[in-house]
Amino acid sequence: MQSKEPFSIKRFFGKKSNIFLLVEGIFFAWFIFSFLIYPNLNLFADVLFSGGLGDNINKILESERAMQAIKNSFILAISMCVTVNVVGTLAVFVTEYFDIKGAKLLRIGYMSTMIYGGMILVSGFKFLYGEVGMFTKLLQAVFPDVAHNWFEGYGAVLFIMTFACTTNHVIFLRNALHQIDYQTIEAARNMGASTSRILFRVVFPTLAPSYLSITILTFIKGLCAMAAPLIVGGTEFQTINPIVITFVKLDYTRTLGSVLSIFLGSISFALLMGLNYIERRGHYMSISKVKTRIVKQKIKSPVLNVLMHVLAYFLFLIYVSPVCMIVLFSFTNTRAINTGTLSLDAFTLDNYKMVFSNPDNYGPMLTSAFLGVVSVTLVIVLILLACRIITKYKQYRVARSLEFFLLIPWLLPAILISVGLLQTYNGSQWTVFGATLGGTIFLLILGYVVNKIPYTLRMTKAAFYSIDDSLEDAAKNLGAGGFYTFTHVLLPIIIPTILALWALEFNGTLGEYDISVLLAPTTMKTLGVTIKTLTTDNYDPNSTAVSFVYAVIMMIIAGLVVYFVYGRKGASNNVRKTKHMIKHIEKMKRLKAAKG
Amino acid sequence: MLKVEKLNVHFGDFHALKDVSLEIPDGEFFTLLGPSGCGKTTTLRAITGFIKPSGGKITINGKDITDIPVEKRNIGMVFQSYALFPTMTVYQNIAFSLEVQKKNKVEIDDIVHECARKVDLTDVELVKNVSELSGGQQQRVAIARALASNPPILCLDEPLSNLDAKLRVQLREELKELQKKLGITMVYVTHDQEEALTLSDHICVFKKGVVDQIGTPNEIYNKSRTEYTNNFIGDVNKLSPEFVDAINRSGIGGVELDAQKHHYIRLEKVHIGKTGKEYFTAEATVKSIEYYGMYIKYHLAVGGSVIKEIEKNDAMEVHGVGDKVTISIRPRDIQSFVPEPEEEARPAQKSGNKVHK
Repeated sequence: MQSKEPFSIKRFFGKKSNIFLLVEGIFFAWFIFSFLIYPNLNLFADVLFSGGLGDNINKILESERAMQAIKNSFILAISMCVTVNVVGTLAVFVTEYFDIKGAKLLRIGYMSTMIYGGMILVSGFKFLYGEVGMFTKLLQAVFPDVAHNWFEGYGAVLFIMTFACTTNHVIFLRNALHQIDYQTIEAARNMGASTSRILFRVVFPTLAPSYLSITILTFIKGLCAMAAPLIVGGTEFQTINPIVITFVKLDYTRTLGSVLSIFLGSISFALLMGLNYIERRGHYMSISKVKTRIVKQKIKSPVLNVLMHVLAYFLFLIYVSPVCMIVLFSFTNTRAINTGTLSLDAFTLDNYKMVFSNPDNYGPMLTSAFLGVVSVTLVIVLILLACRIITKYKQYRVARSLEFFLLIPWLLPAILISVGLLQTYNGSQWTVFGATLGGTIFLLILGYVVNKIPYTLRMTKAAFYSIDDSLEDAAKNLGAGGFYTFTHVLLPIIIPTILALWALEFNGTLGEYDISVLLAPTTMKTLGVTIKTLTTDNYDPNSTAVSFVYAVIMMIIAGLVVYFVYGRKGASNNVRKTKHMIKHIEKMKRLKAAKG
Repeated sequence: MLKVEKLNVHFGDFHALKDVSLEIPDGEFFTLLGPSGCGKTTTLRAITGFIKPSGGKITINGKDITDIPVEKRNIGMVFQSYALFPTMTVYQNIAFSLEVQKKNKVEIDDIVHECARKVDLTDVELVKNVSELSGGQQQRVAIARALASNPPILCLDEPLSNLDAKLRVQLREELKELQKKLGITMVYVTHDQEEALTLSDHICVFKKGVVDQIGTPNEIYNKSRTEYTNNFIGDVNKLSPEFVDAINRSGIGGVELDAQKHHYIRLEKVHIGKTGKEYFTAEATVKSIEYYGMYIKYHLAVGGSVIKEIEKNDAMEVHGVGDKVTISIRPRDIQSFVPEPEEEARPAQKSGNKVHK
């Protein structure tokens, strides 16, 4: 612990490390003000002073398109709270709670949304259920009246968003379920409770706080939906985010776009503050030190059991068929892709050749990879510096407020931050010493960095806190200075976390759309924007083929990242499990020997 | 009367229980004791119905309950973690089984209050959330909850292992008092021999899936049937063959110790400076001292072997390391056993948390 001695200027500047700290402090003060606070305030001021807030709100109220978008966003968000919870709960309970055959395979299927999301996921669904999609053809074969564009509008958006957003359940709900003390379930059985009573009286109530958090996050995801309404929303089901992009890009509707994005921002801000409050109130902690691991429940009724199996594999099909289709058709010729029919002679590697030989095609991949490397590296260096201050001076208010300010972007949707940055740095701006960042790659990188700060901070801080305090003390006791201790003792411990974080964030940048569509220089095409264009504008017969190749490459990268980040941890667990098994087998051998 | 007859349990290839037979009279405090993996918890879980035995019979007052499912069996259970439902209040926890039975509100209220009174829970505690309770209160709620459906038998699975040492002793006393007051049959699982000795009317010692000995605490402690039980319960000195030979040659006590057997003597039955014609004496040197306050434990070198000895710290002389003393033993206090393989005769005293199959 740091001793709380009174502050003395003479003492403070007496040390080299303190001058370094001062420089850091000034830098963070400038960075936070210029890029986290000022753009948002500026946006707000802009809306206030160009025509006044009331006037602009009136304009929104009068704009049928805007009002319809707001209404649609809320309809989508509310419906998703129901559908995502139902599908997510099913996905978690058939793999973790009930004894279903092939649970491992099912889990991999349900987790497929971890390796593909956003534009790719939507384009995959569209390929399957869209106008030339296999499923549409199948449907038309049975019901000839089904329209070609049946997969458009509210239902289609909700369907895609539902399956795209169950990742929270698969991660958080699963964890929460494993936290339950299995002895409580046995106790309920012992007292005569049936399977459903145990589920509704013991299991679900214990999970309630997790459900609440997940529901709030789902609601925000619904409000901020972009890819799905953009691609399959059609004309009648557009939501706030796509409208904001359209509005902001046109001069005479720019302010309206700003107002809409502020509206979206304030709702998500309020919800996340609420979530923070709920989370601080805490979950139902298991009060036991000796709880036992959950054991999968057999479904006693044979009818129900078969029904659950059918349901589980039906869900599995919905999850994995778009991925399979994308991978499969990326190896077929244009005709097969555009008609959705397969034949043996349709298989070819031409699409891959086409992508890797044409700079127009591989360009966006390189661009996005470059942007990812630069912005992720920058944000991690920035957060490492910040984390050192935050953890080292945690008893000072300045350090705590540094953390608070860095978390601002977490409370605001990417779209609001991007609009703020765009509006503020479009022209020369005093906060960056008169430079014009708008239209340059710097603004885009800045947009990425700002958006990545909160997540990076949370993960890095957790890594820092997991370090034993006495390690730093020990290093100092052995004569190491602060910087030496940081680079030689602390950094090596958190390096695995940092690398994992780097990989995850890099992966997130690859297909990113919301930020780059607003902030990228006009000549620059990022992968996300390119895929969107390829998916919606079908002028070029090769467009779908190219987007499929992109998708496959991105899924491979994402799969590798997920494997290295999550899979290898599992691998070390497996080692432990194996050791345990060997011990057990040896024990049994001894028992047998003793008996014989 | 709870009767377990020739109970067998298999987990795959693993024969976890082999012909376990027990008889537990009504109102008894009966303890299943043994190191981890010996089958004590398996037996308890077979009695409560969580495990289906591959053979054997369990009856209560002559009624066969072997095939009755857990939820219909009505045998109360207090879990190792207490397994209180964290989302419910104390009241709701106790009322759970009554709600399952669809009793009416008035009746439920009566029973909950009656159970709460039995375990000394106040009305204020009834409306609390279980996370607000201390360890002792949690135990009482767990017992009250198990009692609510008026089961003939209460099973307890190491309920004290969840707690720190001081509270463990306190709750142990509380539990014993409660059992006496309620007069209910309790089947208690523990790996802690001290717990077993202080609480039980009868103890059943398990050894690798079979019953090694059933008896009162005194029988188990002083008249262990096997070397295994003798070693598992309490601390004990194993006498070296030379020592045994010396006793035989002295002819004191008129017993001939069989050189083929292993011979043991309890620490408190070795004395310093006690004389009498029935005592065998030997010269010893104090090797080391463990000072406990109430008593002192000496490690004494006698010939080539070391004998541990307990002395009540009642203002007598305290010996220092290197002091020469005379120890005395009554040969009839020596317990002799047919040798068992080393590994089996020395059960691990500590038991970890078991994995439920």
